[in-house]
Amino acid sequence: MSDSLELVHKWSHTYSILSTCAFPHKKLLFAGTQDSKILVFDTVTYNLIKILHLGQSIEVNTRSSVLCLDKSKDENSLFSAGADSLVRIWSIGEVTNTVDTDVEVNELVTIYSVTDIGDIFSIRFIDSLETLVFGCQNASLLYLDNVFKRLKGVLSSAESNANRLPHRRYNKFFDSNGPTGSASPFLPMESSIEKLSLDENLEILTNTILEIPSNNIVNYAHNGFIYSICELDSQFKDLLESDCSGCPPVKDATICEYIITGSGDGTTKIWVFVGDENNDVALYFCKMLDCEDSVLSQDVEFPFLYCGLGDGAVKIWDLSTNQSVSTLSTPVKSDIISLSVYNDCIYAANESGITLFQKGEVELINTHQGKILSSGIFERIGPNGKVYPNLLTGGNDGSLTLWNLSCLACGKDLNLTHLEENWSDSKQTQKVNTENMLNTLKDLTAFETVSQVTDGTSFGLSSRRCATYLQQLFATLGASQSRLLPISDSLNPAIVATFTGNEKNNDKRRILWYGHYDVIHPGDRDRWNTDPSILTCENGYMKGRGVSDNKGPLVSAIHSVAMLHKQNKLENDVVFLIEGNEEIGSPGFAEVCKKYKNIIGEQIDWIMLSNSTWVDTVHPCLNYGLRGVINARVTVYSDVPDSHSGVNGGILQEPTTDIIRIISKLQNDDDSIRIPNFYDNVKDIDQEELIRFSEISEMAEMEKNGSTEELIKNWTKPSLSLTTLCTSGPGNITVIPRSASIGMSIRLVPGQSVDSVKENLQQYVKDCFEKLSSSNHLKVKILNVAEPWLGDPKNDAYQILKEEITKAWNMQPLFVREGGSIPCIRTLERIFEAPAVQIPCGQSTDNCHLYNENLRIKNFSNMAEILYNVINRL
Amino acid sequence: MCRFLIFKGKEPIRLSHLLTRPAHSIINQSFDSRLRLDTRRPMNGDGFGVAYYPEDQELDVDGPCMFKAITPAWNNQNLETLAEKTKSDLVFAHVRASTYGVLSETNCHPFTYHNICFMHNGGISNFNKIKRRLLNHIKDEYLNYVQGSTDSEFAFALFLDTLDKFGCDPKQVMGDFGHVALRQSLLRTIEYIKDWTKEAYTGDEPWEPSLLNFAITDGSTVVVSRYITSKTDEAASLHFSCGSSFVESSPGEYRMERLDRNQDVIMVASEPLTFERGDWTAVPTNSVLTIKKQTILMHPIIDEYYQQDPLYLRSSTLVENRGFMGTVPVGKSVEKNVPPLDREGRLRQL
Repeated sequence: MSDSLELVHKWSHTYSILSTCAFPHKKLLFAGTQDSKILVFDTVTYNLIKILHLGQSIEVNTRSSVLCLDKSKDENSLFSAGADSLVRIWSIGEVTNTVDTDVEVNELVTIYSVTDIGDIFSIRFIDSLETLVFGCQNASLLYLDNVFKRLKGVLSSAESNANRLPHRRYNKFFDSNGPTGSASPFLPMESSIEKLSLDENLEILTNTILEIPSNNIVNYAHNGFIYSICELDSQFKDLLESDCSGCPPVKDATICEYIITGSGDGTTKIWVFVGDENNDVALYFCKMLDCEDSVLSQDVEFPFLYCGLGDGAVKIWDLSTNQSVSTLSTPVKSDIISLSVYNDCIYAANESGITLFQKGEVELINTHQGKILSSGIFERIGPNGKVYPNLLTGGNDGSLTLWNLSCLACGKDLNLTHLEENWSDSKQTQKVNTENMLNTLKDLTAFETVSQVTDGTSFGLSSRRCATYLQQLFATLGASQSRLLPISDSLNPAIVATFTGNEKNNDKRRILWYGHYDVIHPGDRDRWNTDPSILTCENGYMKGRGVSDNKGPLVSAIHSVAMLHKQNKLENDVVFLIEGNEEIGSPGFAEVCKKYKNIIGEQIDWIMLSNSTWVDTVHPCLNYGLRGVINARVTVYSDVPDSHSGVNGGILQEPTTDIIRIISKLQNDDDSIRIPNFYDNVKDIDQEELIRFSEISEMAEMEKNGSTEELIKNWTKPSLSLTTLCTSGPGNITVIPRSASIGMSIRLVPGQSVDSVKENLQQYVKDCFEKLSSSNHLKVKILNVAEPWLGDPKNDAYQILKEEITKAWNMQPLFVREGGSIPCIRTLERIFEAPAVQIPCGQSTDNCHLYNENLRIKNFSNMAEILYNVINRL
Repeated sequence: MCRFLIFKGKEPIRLSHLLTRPAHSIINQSFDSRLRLDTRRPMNGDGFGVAYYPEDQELDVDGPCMFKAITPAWNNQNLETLAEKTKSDLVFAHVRASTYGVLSETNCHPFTYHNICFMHNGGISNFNKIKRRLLNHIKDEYLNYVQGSTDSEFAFALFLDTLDKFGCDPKQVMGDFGHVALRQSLLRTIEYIKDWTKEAYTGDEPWEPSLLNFAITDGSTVVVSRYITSKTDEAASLHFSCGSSFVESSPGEYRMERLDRNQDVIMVASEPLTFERGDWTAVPTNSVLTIKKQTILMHPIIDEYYQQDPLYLRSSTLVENRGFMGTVPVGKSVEKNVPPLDREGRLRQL
C-alpha cells in the first residue's frame, strides 16, 4: 500500500461496484452494483444498512447495472441510472440511530425515454434548476427540468394512470408480430404492480413515471457514448459567460448553469442550461475541446478540466482560456475509467490501480481491488468537526473501499474570502492596509510561477492558477472588467483588469500599470534560508521567490488603486496589464496588446511599471533609462566530423580557429566595438546628466561600479560581451571540434537602432568570415532583442512622483538609468503611444533572480502609499 | 430478408460462437420459424458468406479469408467444422434471400477487394434505371472487378471508386484508410445512389424507397449505415451491442457481459443474437455507425430524408412487408423491469 492512501474500511459484494455516491452530511455511502442493486452504508458504524433493488423483481438479474449515481446538494435525493435505460429518483430520509442505524428510502419516480437510448453512462443533477441531465449510449443527451415541480404536478393529472406504467408498455413492446403479421394475444397485466401509495411528507406519488419530452432530447450531442457529465461551480461562471456570449439567451437569463460532457468520440463539450423566471429551462451548446482519444472520465477543479482518456493519459485544459495545458501519462496505458481531483492532486483509476499525480510526482498505488470501476472524493466531517478528504473506490471484484487522503499536497485554493472579510474593515481614511497586502502576496508567492521551465508541468499549472487567482482578485477588489487574455502556443495567459475612476471627472486620465507574475526558477532550495514558495517575514523583510521581481511591487500597485476605488476616491481610470512570460522575453505579448487594444484602452496617458531596484539600500530612485540588447550566437562548422589533432592537425581548416579570428575582429584592444557605423548615433551625455551622475556617485552607497565614469559607461554607453563559448566533440584536448560557437550580448543605448545594428553585425561577421576564405560554414543567429529606452525625467509624472517619494521617504529620489533591459517597455510605449514611467521598489540587496530574494516591508508599503497619492494627481 | 452480422473484438472469438451455436445466430435465424417475418420469402436460403480477418499477422494482409456457399447455411457441414476451428477478431457474415441477381456464389455477400470487405442488407429500388449511369461513373478497374449481377456488388464498386477519388488507394494490401475516409466515402456512395434514383424516378409507378444498410471494413475500421430514402418509413433493422465478453450462459443461449465501460466486444447485426433485450441498442434510422479501434461512433446522415424530431414515428410497414425488420428475441423468462419503449416498429398499438 502507500503513504498517500490510508485504508479506512473495505466492504465486499458478489458483483462489481459500478458507481458510488457519498452523502457526507447524512454520513451515508451509496454504491451501485452490476446486479441491479444500490447498497447503502453508513460511515459511523461502517455497516451495510440497506439494499435497494431496482424495480420490484425479486429474481436476480444481471441486466440493469447501476452505472451512475448523483445526489441533490441537500442530500434529500439520490439519482440512479444504468443499463436498463431508466433513471430513478430516490428520496433519502433522515438517518435514525435508535437501535440500528436506518434511513428511509423511497423510489419516487422512474424517468424513461421512448427513444432507444441504450445504457445511461452519466447523470448529473443541477440543483438550482431542478434539472436532471444524463448522457447515453446512443450519443444523445437528455434532460428533465423542474423535476420536483413536475412530480407534484403529476398528482392531479392523468399521468398516474396505471396503464401508462412501464410494465404495461413492456409487455406490448416485447410482444412481436407473428409470421402472418398479426398480433399475438395481449399478455395479461401483471398483478404485482404495486398499489399507488402516498408519501405524506412529500405529497408525491410513489412509483410515478415521467417521460422525457421530445425537445429535451439532444440527438447526437456527441458522436460517441457520453461517459461523463461534470457541473461547473457557479462561482466561476462569469469567466465563461463572455466566452459563451454566442448563445443569445445567456445574457438575460435568470440562472445559467454550465455542464461539461465527455464522450468516446474524443471530445469534451461545454453546454449551458439557461433558466428564466417562468421556470423554462433550455440547453445550449457553447464550445468543444478536442481530446483526440476517448474521454472516459472527467473532473473539474477550476480553472482546470481534467479528462481521463482511453490511452491512459490525463489531459488538462484551462477552461478560462480553452487551452490544453498539459497531458500526464499513467505508467500503464489503459483506459482511465475514473478520475478525481482534490487540491491539485489527481487520482486516476485504471486497471492497474490508482495513479496519483502530485506536484510533478507520479505514484502508482495498487489498491488490491481487481479493476477499479468507480471512484469519488468527498469531504467527510469528523467527530470534532474537522474535515477529512476521503476517497471511495469500487472494483470489479465487488469491493468498495474507503480511504483517507492522508498525504495531501497543500495545493492553493482560489479562496479569497479572507480578503473580502478584511477588505470591508478597511477604514475610509487609511491609505494602505499592509496586512491585506501581505495576505495577497502570500497567496501569490505560493504559486510557483516559473516561466522558463516548460517541461515541468506543475509550474505551468501553478502559473495558470496564479493567473486565475489574479483575475478573481481584481474582480473581488471591484475592477469593472477583469479577464484572462490567452497567449498563443499555450504560454501563460495575461490578465487585464480596469478600475474605473470617478464618472464625474471630465478630465480623466487613463493609466496603464504593467507587471508580471512569472518568476525565475528558485534553483537549489538548500541554498535558500527560507522556503522560496512560502512568504516568510523576518526582521522587517519579506522573503520568497518573486517578492521583489515582480509580485511585491505588483501587489502594492493593485492595493493602492483598489483602496482608492473602494473609498470612491479614484479619479483616473487604471488598467492593469499583467503578463506571465516576462522572464523569457515576453513572447506573444505585443500581439496580445494589439489584439485587445480596445479593452486595454485606445487612449492611454501614462504607462507605469516597477520592475527594478534602487541603486543602493538607502536612496529611493526613479528610473528613466534602460539599455537595449541584442543577444546573438555565431557558429562556424565544418563538413568534416570531429577529428584527431595528431592525425589531421595542420591539414584541416579548423572551425575553432576560424571563429576566434572572426570574433577577435569585433573589438579593438581598447574594447571599442568595430561593427561598422556602431557608434554613429551614440551621443555623449550632456552637462545636466553628468552633474546628476556625479551626485549619484557621491550620495549612493553602491557596493561596486559606483564611480561617475563607471555609471556613464554602464548606463549610457553600448557594450559587447562574449558570454558563451562551446565546441562540439568530447572535449578531449586532442580532438579538433567539428563546430564552434560563441554567444554574445550587445547592450545598446538610445540613438542606436536595433535593426541597423543587427544588420551591420550580421554583415560584418559575414565579411570577416569571407576574408578567411575558409571551407567551413558560418551561421549567425539573433536570439532576442530589446530596444533601448529613455524617458523624460522632467515630465509631469516624474515630477509628481518625485514630490510624493520625497514625502514618503523624507528624502529626494535619485534619478537613475540602468544598464539592464526590459523588452516590453518600448513595446508598450509604441503600441499605446504613451510615455512610460519606471519606479524602482526594492533595494539593491533584493537578490532578484538569485537565492534568498527579499523585499523590505517598508519599501512595499511606502510604494503603495506613494502610488495611492500619485494616481489621482496625474 | 437478408441478415448480416459484424463482430469486432479486442480478442479473437471462435466463429461458432457467432454463427452456429447461438440459438438466435444468423444461421439459425435463417430457418427459425418463430422469426420468419417475411411472408414473401420464408427463409434466407439463397446462400451465405463469411469473411474473417486471420489472426496470424503473416496471413492478415490483402483481404480476409472468405467462405461462401449457395446451399442453405444450416445444412453446410463445412461451415460447421470451419466455424468450430477458426478464430478471428473481425468477422463479416451474411445470409441471403435474393432480391436482385441469380443464385450463384458470385452473388453472395460479403464482397472483398484487397483488404476491403463489404455487405449490404436491403435493395436499391429501380436499380435497372440507374445501372448505366453508375457504370459510366466508375473507373474501369472497378467496373471490371464486378463479377456478379447484384445491385449490392455494383454499390460496392461505386464505393471503391468513391474511396479512390477520395484519395485512398483501395488496392492497398494493409487497408487502414482511417475512419474519416471510410465514412465519408460511404456517405458519398449513399448520396450518389439517392440522387440518381431520385432523378431516374418518372412518377409513373409508386415511389419505392431504397434500403441501404451497408457494412464496410478495411480490416481495421468498420463503418455501417442504416439508411432509407424516405422521410416517413423505417429503414431495415440494425442493432448493436457491446461489452466485455460474449458468454454462453446455457447451451445455445448467450449474453453480452458488461462489467465496465470497455467495449472489448462489439457486434452489429440486423437482428439481435441474444435473448437479453438490454444488451441491444437500435442504430437510429438514417445514421452511420463507426467502429474505430474498439470505440463506437455515431453520426447522423442529414439530408432531405432526415427526421429532426427524435420522437418521430417512422412507419415500419414497408420494411416488415419486405422482410427487412428483425425482432428482438424473447427469452424464456421475461424480466419485468422495464426496458423502455422502443419505436423500432416492434410496438403494436393498443
